[in-house]
Amino acid sequence: MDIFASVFAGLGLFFIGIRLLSNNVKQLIGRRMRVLITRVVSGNGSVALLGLLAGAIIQSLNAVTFVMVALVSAGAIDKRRAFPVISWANLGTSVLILMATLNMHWLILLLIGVTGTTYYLNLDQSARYRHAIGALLGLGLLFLGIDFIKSGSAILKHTLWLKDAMQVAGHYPLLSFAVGTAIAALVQSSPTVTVVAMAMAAAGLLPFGSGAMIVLGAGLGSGLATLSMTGKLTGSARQLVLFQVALKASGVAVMLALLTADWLSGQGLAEHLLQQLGLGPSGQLAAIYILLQIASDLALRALRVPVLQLLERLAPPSVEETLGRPHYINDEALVEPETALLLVEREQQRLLASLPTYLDAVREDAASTSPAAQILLAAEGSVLRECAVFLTELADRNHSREVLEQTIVLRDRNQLLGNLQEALAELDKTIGDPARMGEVRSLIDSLVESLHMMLETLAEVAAAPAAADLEMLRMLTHDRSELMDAIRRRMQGGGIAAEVQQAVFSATGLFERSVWLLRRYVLLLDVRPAGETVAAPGSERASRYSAA
Amino acid sequence: MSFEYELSQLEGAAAVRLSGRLDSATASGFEKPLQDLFTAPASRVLMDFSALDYISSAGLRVVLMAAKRAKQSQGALVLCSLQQQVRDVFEISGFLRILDVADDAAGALQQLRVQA
Repeated sequence: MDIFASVFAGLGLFFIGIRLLSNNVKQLIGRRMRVLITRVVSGNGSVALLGLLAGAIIQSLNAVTFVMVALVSAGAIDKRRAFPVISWANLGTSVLILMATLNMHWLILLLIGVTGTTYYLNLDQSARYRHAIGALLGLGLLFLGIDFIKSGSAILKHTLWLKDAMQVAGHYPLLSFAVGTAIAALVQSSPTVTVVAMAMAAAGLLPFGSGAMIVLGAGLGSGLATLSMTGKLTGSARQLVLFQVALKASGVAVMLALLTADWLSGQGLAEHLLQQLGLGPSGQLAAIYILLQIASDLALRALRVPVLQLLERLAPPSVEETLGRPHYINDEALVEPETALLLVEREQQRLLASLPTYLDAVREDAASTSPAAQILLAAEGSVLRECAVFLTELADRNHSREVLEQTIVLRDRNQLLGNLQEALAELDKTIGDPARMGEVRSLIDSLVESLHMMLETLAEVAAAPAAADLEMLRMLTHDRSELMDAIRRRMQGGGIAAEVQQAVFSATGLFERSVWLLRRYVLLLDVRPAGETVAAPGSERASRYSAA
Repeated sequence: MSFEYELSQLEGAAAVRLSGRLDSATASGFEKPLQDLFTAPASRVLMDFSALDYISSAGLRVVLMAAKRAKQSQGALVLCSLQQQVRDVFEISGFLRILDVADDAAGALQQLRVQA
C-alpha cells in the first residue's frame, strides 16, 4: 500500500508542479516579455534558443504551442517564426527527461528549501517576485514528484505480480503503445508518461521493448491531446496546433518504423546499442524519448514545404485573424514618438472607416458582404486594445508635454472608437433580421441609413479634417434625445408587438448613443490653432448649413 | 425601381426633380451633375423630392455634398416636397435642422429669393 501511495503522491506532486510552473511562467510573459520574445525571434539562432529554453522551462509542448498561439493571434510574432519555436521546444522538453536520469535528490531538497525561505520572507506576496517564486515552487514539486515515483517504483520491483504483468505487456508492443498513448492523452504530457516509465524501468519493472513503445505511444497521445484542443481555433492558431500534431506524429512514425524493423529482425540492435553506450534501463528510455524528438524534428524539416502547404489548406487564415491585426502600429516605431503617434492615428482612421460596415447586415442598400458585426467587434476590438497598450508604452517612454497631450487625445479617440464598435454591434444584434420589424421597418431603415451616412462622413473628414467639414459634422451630430423620445412615445400607443416595440426602444437608444459618441469624436478632431475657440456644443443650431 | 432626375430652370434658379430610388447604385451617377450646378458662384438650386420614393445613406451623402458645395460657392440650396418616408430619414439624419427645406416648390423659390 505504501508503494502505491508513494507513486500516487509522486504523480500528484508532479501534476501540481507542472501546473504551477506552467501557469506562473505564462504570467511572467507579460507585454515586456512579449516584446523581448518578438526581438529574440527576429534571428534564426535565437529562435532555436528560445524554443529550447521554452520547452525546457515550461516542460509542456502544449503550453509552448498555446503561448505561441497567443503571440501569433496578438500579432506579436509571425506564424512562420512560431513553427521553428515549436520544433525546438519539442527538443527542449527532453531536458526534464535527462534530469530525471540523474540523482537529483539533494538538488530537489535545496530547491524546496530555497523556495520555502522566500515564502518565509513573504516574497511570495510581492507583485514583482510572486510568479517567479510560484514557478520555482512548481519546479521543486515537479522534481519531488519524480523522486517519489522513483522511490515508490524501486520498492515495486520486489512485487512479483507487477513484474510479471509488465513482462507480459512487453510481449505485446501494441498494448504498451496503446497504454502510452492513452495515458499521455489523458495527462496531456508525454514527458510525464516517459518519466514514470523511466522510473519503472529503473526499478526493473518494465522491459526495454515495452518501455520504448510506451514512450512512443506517449508522443502520439500528447499530439492527440493537443488535437482535441483545436476545436475553437481557426486560421494561424489552428495551423500552429496542427503543426505540433504533425511534428509528434511524424517522429512517432519514423521511430515506430525503425523499432518495428529492429523487432522483426530479432536482433535487438537498438537495446544492444544503447547498452553499449553505458545507459541503464532508465537512460535507455530517456534516449528513446530524445531520439523521438530528434526524429520528429528531422522528419518535419524534410517535409516542411508540403506540411505547411497542407496546414494552409486545412486552416486558412481566418477573417478575424486578418482583421484583428494592426496594419500600422509596430513596436519598432515606439522609439520615434512622432512616427508612433502618426501610426496610431492611421490605425484609428482605418478602424473608423470600417465602422459603417458594422451595419451592412441590417442594410437593404449594403453593397458588399462584410463579416458579421460581432466578428468585426471581436477582431477590431483587439486592434484597439493593441493601440491602447501601444499608447501607454509611448507615454511611459516619452515625457514631453506635446507627446503626452497627443497621446491623451488619441487615447480618448481609442476609447470612443471602442464604444462606437460596441454600440454598432449591439444595434446589429438588436435589429437582427430587419424583415421581422413589420410596420416599423421603415423607421429602422431610416435610423440605420442616417447613422451609416454619418459614419461614412466622419471617416472621410477624419482623414483630412478641414474646419468647414468639422463644422458640418458638429451640426449633423446634434443631440437626438428629444427626437428619439418622441419616436418611443409614438410606439407606446401604436398596438405594435411587444418584441418589436422592445427592439425599437433599444435601437433608438443605441442610435442616440452612437450619434453622441460621433459628436465627441468630432470634437476631438477639432484641432484648432491656439487662441481660437471651439464653438460651444449646440451654438450652431441657430444657423443653417446651406445658408450662404 | 430606377432613379431619374430632370433639370430645368425655374424663376432663375436651377430646378432638379428627382424620382425613384437614390441609393448606392444610382447616387454616384447623380453626384457630378448635381455638383456641376454650383460651378458658377452664387448659384441657386431647388431640389424637388416629390417623386423620390427612397433615399439611402449614399443618397444622403450626395445631398450633403451638394449643400457643402453650395456653401463653398456662396450659393443656395433648398429642398422641397419630401415624401413622408424621405422626410423621416432627413429628420433622423439631422438634415431638417441643417439644410433648408420647404413644403413645396413655391416655398422653396420663396426661400431662394430671400437668400439671393
